[in-house]
Amino acid sequence: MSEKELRLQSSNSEVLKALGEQFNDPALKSSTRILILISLALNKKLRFVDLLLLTGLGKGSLSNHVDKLEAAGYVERRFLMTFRGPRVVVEVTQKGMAVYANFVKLVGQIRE
Amino acid sequence: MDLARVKKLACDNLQNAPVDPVELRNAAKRALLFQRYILRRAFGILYAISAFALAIEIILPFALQPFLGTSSWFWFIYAAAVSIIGIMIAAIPILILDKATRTIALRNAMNSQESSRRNQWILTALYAVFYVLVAACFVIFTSESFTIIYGLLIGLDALVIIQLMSMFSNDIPIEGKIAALAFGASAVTSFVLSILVPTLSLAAPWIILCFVWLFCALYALKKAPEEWVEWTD
Repeated sequence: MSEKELRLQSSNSEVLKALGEQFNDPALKSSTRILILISLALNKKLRFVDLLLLTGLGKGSLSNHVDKLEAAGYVERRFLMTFRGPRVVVEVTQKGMAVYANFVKLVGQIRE
Repeated sequence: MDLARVKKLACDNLQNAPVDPVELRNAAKRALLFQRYILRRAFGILYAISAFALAIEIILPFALQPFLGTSSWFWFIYAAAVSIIGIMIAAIPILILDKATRTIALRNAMNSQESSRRNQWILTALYAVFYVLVAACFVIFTSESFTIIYGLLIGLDALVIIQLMSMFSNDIPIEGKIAALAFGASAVTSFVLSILVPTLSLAAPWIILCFVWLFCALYALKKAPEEWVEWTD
């Protein structure tokens, strides 16, 4: 293994360690919940129906994922009155944005 | 270093690591793909509101003239109405820019490129300058301001195209291309006509544009979810 490759391995190892610490929370031990958090961080808030479209999950399953994220303080669920009746909107919290900000810093360092 | 080796490293070096880097990157990629649907839909709403606002701007002079003639009050009320509509429309691209800035930042982070956040804020500033200039033209030059405004609209169209290109990674949806081209064509036609025949005020290009934008809005709102479902199937 060349010196350059060893350095890269060490660098990636550090990145993964940092990511490991970042996502050590049980609420984030699911790629679906990470996907939901990333998408919410990009848009600040999304309707529940958009999250259904994003994840391709059923209502119950998605609701469980959102419950876990909400319990950990990453997202908040709100009810919005519309012309077509009440709608559920999920909004990212400051804590969720902080996780996302670190994620953006680290994700680019994993090379394909 | 390929992802398989990175993944192996994750297992070797972080025995309790909850993170699978492959899954993390895939989640980020899926979120970025979904942003195309979100931005397309947001632009669809923008086209619809723009078409509605433009229709009001075309109809308003005909509605005001019987009551106010062509007095200075007519121009004042018309300019005020156009400014209010303009500010309302201006708020939407700025809201879209906010989402787009974060999308571009993530996309650049994934590709290890520098964030173009600064470029997005330059675009926002240019939008703000544009609206101030249009409002100033109406107040300062009144009826002689149309040539200048049409010229400014050509510049605005260039801004919209740059914004669309940066948001959709140079793969602008078809309705975006149609909306921007129709807007540019209307602005150029009106600009040239206002120089050649200053007394002629032609509403036809703008009435056509209303219908084109309405079509683009409906197309975007219908096709955006369909495209996402096609991708995920």
